[in-house]
Amino acid sequence: MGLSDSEKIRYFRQLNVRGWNQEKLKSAKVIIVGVGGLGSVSALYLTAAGIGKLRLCDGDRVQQTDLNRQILYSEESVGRLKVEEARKRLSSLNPNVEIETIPEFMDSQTADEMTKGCDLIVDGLDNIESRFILNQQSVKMKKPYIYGAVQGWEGFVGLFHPPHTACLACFLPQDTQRLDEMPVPGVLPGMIGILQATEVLKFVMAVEGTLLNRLLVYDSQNLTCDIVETEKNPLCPHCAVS
Amino acid sequence: MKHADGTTMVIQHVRFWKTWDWTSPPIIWRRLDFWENPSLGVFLRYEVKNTNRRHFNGYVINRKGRVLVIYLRAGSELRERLKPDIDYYTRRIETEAGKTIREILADIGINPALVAFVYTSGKVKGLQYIPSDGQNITLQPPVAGG
Repeated sequence: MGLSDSEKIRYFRQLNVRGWNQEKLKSAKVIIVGVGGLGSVSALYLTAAGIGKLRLCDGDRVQQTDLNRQILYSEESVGRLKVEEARKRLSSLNPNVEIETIPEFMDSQTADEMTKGCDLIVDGLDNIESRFILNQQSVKMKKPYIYGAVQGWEGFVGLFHPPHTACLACFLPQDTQRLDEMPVPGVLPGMIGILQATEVLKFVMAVEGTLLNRLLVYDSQNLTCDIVETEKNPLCPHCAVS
Repeated sequence: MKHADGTTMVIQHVRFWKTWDWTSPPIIWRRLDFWENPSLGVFLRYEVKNTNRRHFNGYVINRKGRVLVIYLRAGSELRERLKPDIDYYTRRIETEAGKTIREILADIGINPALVAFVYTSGKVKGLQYIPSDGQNITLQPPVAGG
């Protein structure tokens, strides 16, 4: 899959980055589940970078309270479907990227259909329950899963590719109790979404140094960043039985 | 092994029913029983699983009764529950050797269900992890937003 002259001009500033492979990027198909704080940022940067196909899944509509962090949307978007607003914005940013939209929430019944044909799954969700469904789907399809989550001043990013690596359920118990609802500063999902997009680009182009089987813990209050290894759990309810 | 501050390292006595594969660490599954020896202290026996094998294939015996010191760290809202005393994030805990993180959290009044996992020495561990003397352990809540 070659690049057109206009694509060569558009991507000129990144084509010479060491390890960069624009053609590989152009042939990749990525699904972003949830186009909120995390998903809108990763979608924006993947589109700008020239990913081939982007599938966006979200059944939600834009609310005024989303506008502090969900930078794909504006005042005019309030009340409209997120995926449709996202498609308009992303298509105007880069018409070379094929954008598919699914205006539905993912559940265990719809997960198969939604993720069909995708090379990589990006997590843009806002709750643990849906993340476990997404993780299960990644285990089932043996597709890489870029995990991201934020709360308060802290954020996580991870790249899991079961059965080669641990999965989310290997270390995150399903019976944990949520702390009280915490506010999220708008910049934090921005940071984490960009890191997720970076991991997608590196994984697709086979650039070394991905977060494969590792978890990045970012504390934006103290400006610290820990990268820790995860281990496969032989008792994992998702990947140990598969 | 005695430290300068008077605490003692946990001595792990390991016995196996089958040959152990040391390429993967044992995972504590549940406590089986314990017994006391007047001169050697309390011994706890845990059922363990090898991370390379699906089924139970051994047990670990831990000596208990000695005090060890660990340093728990937490950010965000967990930090307030931890009540740090060393610095902004860290609390020094004296505990009995052989206790799991889950047990230690319960002892200091933190509901273990509020902690999703911990990490120490660059590795993620579950709440069944048994710390050793002097370890720094970071607690992580179930971060869920997006």
